[in-house]
Amino acid sequence: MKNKLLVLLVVFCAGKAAAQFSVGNTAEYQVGNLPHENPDDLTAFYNQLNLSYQWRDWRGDVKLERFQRPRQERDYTELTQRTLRYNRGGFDFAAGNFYEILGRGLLLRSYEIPGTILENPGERIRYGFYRDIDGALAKFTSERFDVKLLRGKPLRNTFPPKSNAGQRRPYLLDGLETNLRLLKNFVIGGAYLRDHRDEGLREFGSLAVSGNVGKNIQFYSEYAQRLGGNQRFDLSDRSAHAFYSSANFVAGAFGLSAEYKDYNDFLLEYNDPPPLIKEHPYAVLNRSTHLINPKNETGWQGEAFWHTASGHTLGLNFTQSENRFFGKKIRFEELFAEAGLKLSEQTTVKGFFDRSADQLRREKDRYAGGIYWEREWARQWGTALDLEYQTLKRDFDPGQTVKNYVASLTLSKAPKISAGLILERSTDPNLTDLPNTTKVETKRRHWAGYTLGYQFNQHYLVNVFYGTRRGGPACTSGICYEVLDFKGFEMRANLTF
Amino acid sequence: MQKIFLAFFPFIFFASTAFAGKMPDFRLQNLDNKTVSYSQLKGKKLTVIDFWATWCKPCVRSIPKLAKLHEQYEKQGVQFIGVNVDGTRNLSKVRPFAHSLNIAYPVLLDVNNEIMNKLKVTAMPTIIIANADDEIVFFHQGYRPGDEKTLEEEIKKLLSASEKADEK
Repeated sequence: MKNKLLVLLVVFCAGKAAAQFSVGNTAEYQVGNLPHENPDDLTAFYNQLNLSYQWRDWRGDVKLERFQRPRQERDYTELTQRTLRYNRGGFDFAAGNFYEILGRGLLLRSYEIPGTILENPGERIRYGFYRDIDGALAKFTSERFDVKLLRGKPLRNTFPPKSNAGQRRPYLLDGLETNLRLLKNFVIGGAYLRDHRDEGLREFGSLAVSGNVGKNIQFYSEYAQRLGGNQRFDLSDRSAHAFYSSANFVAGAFGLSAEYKDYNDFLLEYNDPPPLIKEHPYAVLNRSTHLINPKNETGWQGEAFWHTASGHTLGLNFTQSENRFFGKKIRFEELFAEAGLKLSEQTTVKGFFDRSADQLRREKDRYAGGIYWEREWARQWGTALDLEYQTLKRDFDPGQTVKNYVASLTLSKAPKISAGLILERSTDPNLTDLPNTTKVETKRRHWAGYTLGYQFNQHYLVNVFYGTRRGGPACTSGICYEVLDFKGFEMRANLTF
Repeated sequence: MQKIFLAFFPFIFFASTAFAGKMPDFRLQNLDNKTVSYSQLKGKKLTVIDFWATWCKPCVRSIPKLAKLHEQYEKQGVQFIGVNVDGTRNLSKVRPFAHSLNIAYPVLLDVNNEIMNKLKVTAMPTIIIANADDEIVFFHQGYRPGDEKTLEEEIKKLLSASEKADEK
């Protein structure tokens, strides 16, 4: 009752002073289940309402999440975020839920992946994808100097909103960061962070230096370590440390980026060191990503881009990561190449090739290739065709070759409508065996899904999915998570005012 | 049923209202590592903000078309700003990627997705247009081939409205 009144009160207030409110709402309704699981018409409704009120330099934000399933013990309606902010000139103060990063995330990174809904695989509870901090933040930013101070409890987003508050936010953090522009092009910075746990206080520190060398080169280096021991700037296995360094180079239409990482005993639960693994837009590659392990990982990544004036493109990426388990080295390697041709003002075609090997998954000779073709027709009609293929072998089953296929076709009429068909097929024995039969199916498995998107106006966007969707690991905005398989009907409506 | 109605109530309530949002005067780092504010960069008449990421296929497809529109309308008081939301995973690649694409307008780095959240952006790419009074007057999510024509029509319409207002 209290929650219903809260929704009505918020909506009523919004109506009284609509000029100062902004609203974002995502509602998703599903009828379906994991494929081959009963009942196959399980319903689920998830709604996330984000309301903001701005008055001069003050701003208030609330996030209200609601989840409903037929088994009501999993339902919740929670005010999951509430923040009061004051912002004037370079000063920024926040009390409540906020997102912040120290350096490049070696010590701390909180985030929200808007538009993505997480589903807890055990309890099948759905909730927003974010890892915020609940506490207070004070920041000052200027051209020469910036400083931030924070105190708060970071969210463990593996626990859904209904979980115990102590489980969701078990630690209290205190953090400080400052950056100083020494010369025109060089910045030096440092950060301190401590967390209060039942076992005691842990302290961490970091130093960072960044700058531009002429107009063509830019660099960034950061070293972070746990404080309290005798080691300083120690990159050996004896110290808890994280070292990240990157440089990029630009010359006309050519661009190059190179990065190096060395992480040891640095899985802090609230940090997110750069993984140096390419984030692929292609489904077969996005799913085969390597998940970093800051407990012990070293590696590097290089990427080159070239875009010609006539619209052709070329991209190359090489990644290598190494973990050590019980003295044994486990390596991940990937080479990716992509070329794009602009055939005319209306037609573009892209092709990619990828070769990788992942010793942790015991997958070798992993090859992938694909073509993406897009054509714009008269009256703002458009067509896009995406064909992808991947093949791999596993160490423990050398006789078996796993093959993955993706084909998708999208028709669109800008700016309002798009409709698509996505077909997937796999011979992966981990997927072909159906859980609801006693037989071990080994041949192949198919997924077929239909999508429809309609933008009613600038405020409303509706997306519909019907069919079966293949799950697995996925990465969005640099953060990787697990997507569950789905069979059924799904409708998502987005509202923005 | 009652619960579903309550959850959908905001949709029904706001159905007939206009955009209420104002563009906040945000501060972000640019590709040269310098902190700049929205008020320093905004256009005299209109500001077009494109939220994009290097991993987002439709974003990358739309950028050359936006760059062309920027070239066409810059002199008429329309400023384009790219807000990159790649996060730390791809941050090192944004500058070489943007340079090789020859993006002539400023690109800012929203590493925390702070501005994206403030403006209730949930899909990539998203285009937002703000007028000279910082009022949000256009909001479009996603990219379909031909969307740039709709954007151009909107810019023309808003420029003509701004000229009429100036005449008064």
